[in-house]
Amino acid sequence: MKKAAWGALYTLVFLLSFGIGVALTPMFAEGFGGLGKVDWNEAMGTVETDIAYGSGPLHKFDLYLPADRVRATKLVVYIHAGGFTGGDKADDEDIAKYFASKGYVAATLNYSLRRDANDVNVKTMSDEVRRGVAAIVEAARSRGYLVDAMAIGGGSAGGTLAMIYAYRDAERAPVPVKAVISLVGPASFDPRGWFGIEDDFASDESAASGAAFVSIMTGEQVTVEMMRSGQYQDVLKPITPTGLLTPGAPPTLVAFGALDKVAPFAASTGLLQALDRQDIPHDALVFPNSGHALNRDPKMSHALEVKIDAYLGRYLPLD
Amino acid sequence: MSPGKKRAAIICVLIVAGMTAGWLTFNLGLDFLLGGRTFG
Repeated sequence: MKKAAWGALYTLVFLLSFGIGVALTPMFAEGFGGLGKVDWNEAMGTVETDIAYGSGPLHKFDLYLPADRVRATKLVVYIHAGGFTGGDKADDEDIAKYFASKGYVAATLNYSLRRDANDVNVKTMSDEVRRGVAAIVEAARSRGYLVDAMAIGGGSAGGTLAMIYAYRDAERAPVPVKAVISLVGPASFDPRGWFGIEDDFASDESAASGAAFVSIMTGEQVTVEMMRSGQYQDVLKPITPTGLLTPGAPPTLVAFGALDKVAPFAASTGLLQALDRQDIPHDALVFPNSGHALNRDPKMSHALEVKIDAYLGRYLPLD
Repeated sequence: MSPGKKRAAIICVLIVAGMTAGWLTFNLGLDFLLGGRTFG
């Protein structure tokens, strides 16, 4: 065989192996959050999609209604991931079905996403979640599901929005919020923890990049001077789960990837200290070998599934 | 080493390298998909 033919064969072998590597990985990986996939069928319940809670194109939610209407008096809302710029409620269909299969009314919702051409920010998204949850409870009740308590959770950006709702908006919630579950949700947007800035914004570069980051996240115009004076922390507070914690906050279950480079674990360690300080029941599961997707620690994934079930059983029990 | 054995060794190395690269791509890609470009 000629040299060129061997070269082509080698390339083909590499590409095929690459494809097999990509294909095999999800087959051996646990689902995000460790929640097992449910073989959903109509006997388990019904699913209603794209119910509107506002006028925007993304102001929609999906409702997963268990067959046993009388028992289903508790709601679990799950908010999708995507770095505030992407993702969709349909991404978490399996997670919602998992909760519905246990007898909970489950819901996933969309919220406006940050684009270069808009000024959507975490504050506006969290306000949309608040309106969405109210509409979800109303929709469940109008369908004969007399929801009287809820838990809220989410992955990544959704985890942050879930915590903001639980810590900031729970007092105004239509039903008591009994627990919050955040999977790799950043608990703080302080650029110091986020980017490892250690000079308290003394340099022009760190102050400017910090100001830009805080401005994007909050929608407020934050200046270099505000970064240096510490005033930016007041601007960040309404979207900072760590800063929003009060002693009455709901029990909190969080999971992080120790190797997370997307939303650094270091930026959220303050949450664990705040939960301790405020004496709020909580559990933190750190996946030692995983990054942001929590997909390289099968034992921890199983432990998380057990813990999620335990939280629901303890704080949101069904009759 | 005979040319046949050498080529077999190269193919083995390529299979391992390809599968590792695929595994890494999936994992990093999944992290990015969940984190989105805001955190990327």
